[in-house]
Amino acid sequence: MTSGANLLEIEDVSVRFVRKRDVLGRPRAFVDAVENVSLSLVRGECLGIVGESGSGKSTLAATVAGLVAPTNGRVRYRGRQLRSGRRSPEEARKIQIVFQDPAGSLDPRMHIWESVSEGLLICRLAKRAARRERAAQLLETVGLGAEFLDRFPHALSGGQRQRVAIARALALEPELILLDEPTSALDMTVQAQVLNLLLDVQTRSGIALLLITHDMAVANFLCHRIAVMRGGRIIELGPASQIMSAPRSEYARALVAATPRVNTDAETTENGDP
Amino acid sequence: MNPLLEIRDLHVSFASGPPEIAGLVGESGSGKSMTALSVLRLLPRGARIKGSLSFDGADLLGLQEPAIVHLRGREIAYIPQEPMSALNPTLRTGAQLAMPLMVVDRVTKSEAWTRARETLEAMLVSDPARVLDSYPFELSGGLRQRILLANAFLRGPKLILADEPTTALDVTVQAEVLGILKSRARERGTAVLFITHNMGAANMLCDSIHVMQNGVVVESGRTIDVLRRPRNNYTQRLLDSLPERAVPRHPIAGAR
Repeated sequence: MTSGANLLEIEDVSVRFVRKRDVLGRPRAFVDAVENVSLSLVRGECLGIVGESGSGKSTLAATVAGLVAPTNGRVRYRGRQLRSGRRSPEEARKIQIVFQDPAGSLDPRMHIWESVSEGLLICRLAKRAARRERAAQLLETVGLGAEFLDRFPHALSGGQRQRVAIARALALEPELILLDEPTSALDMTVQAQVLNLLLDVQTRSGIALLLITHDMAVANFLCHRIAVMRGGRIIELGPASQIMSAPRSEYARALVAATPRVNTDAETTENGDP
Repeated sequence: MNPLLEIRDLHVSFASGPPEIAGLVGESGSGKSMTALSVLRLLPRGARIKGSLSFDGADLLGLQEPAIVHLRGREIAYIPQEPMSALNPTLRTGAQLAMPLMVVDRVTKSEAWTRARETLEAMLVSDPARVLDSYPFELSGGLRQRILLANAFLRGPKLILADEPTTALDVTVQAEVLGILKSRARERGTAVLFITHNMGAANMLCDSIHVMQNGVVVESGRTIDVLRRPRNNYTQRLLDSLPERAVPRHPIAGAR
């Protein structure tokens, strides 16, 4: 099962939440958010997990991030089992997260430079002046100028905030970034910019990405492989191009068909009646 | 002082032929929502409208408040983007759908509820009785948006303004909701002004597309023409913003 080349291994992971308790506090009803999921990521790989709301994809990401403990199974990072809850700084810095809503994930009372370089402070890697300098570099990487250093999140647009969240994730030079619907709160044009930025950063740095999304087109844009998730299970896994062009499962076909496009001739003709 | 809002020469015409589904496409801040609100005369305080807005032959800007109130919901209906904040969290959905019928149209309670149930059924809600009896928070995003579709169709309007009705939804649910909106509008002969930032969504639904940038319509045309032969750079940018790969990324060796 374990191979040396794998960066991340999700082995037979299940997550069950208690939905109802009886009067004595004993669990009575459960939700199986994730059921027997196994996936692996090699170094530098982008893997997309695509599914609808309630498919368990965010719970799976939270398990990898250590925010939720699996009921069953293991998550291994470089062959070592990752525990949920408090991780060693070394483990924590190698896996970073970018959340869907950058307005909610950045501290509104912190300057942008403080948010971006907070990890360096926590890991005691640099003094104040050096942190600020590093923040400026990171902002440049994500296409934001030094004028953003002393601003607060509320003064930024959604796209700019998401760039800040990406800069923050890059600060500790991680090997894996979890992206939980990083662009679904953004306008299409801003989404395109952020996706291009992620692709550019990924290709240059070789950081592995685990992308959670409901949008097949977004997954196909960034990812080498796509896993389709439904009802807590992986129902299809394969190269992105194959899932897009020749999905095997009915559900993956439906997801691909629901993706808005502008260059399908059949659809355009149907709409263009005289 | 410059006017806060200026809508110039926007021409969305439903005059000839069968009622149309028109798309108003642009980014945040392009003025597309303000355009919709100006049609309903619901602009924020301080906004002024220049130009003209006519609906069904009547000059909307010349109308007094009571006449506008008469139009809202009955002749021109509105579907907002965020179903959670558009629905009252303290009322069951049935009461919310039936209330305008009872209060404004003076319909009996039982008839109002029957019509609410029938309209929900028309929006392909499989269990309308349960939905009418539920509070908004008990329902999924897709169901909530169907309730707002039902609310818009309920009083048989001539025009529905749909302001990004599917942006908060999953793609599969979005496709369903847009499909329902399209077929019900066609059957009932309702014109729709569909506001979106997503060219792909506009393509799924609209007969014509009007592209808006910085408060000005920069390109208008039939959907097929705008998509195939965009004349404007900004239109091209919106079309390019859909994530579509020319060259696929292939799996890295060793990945399983």
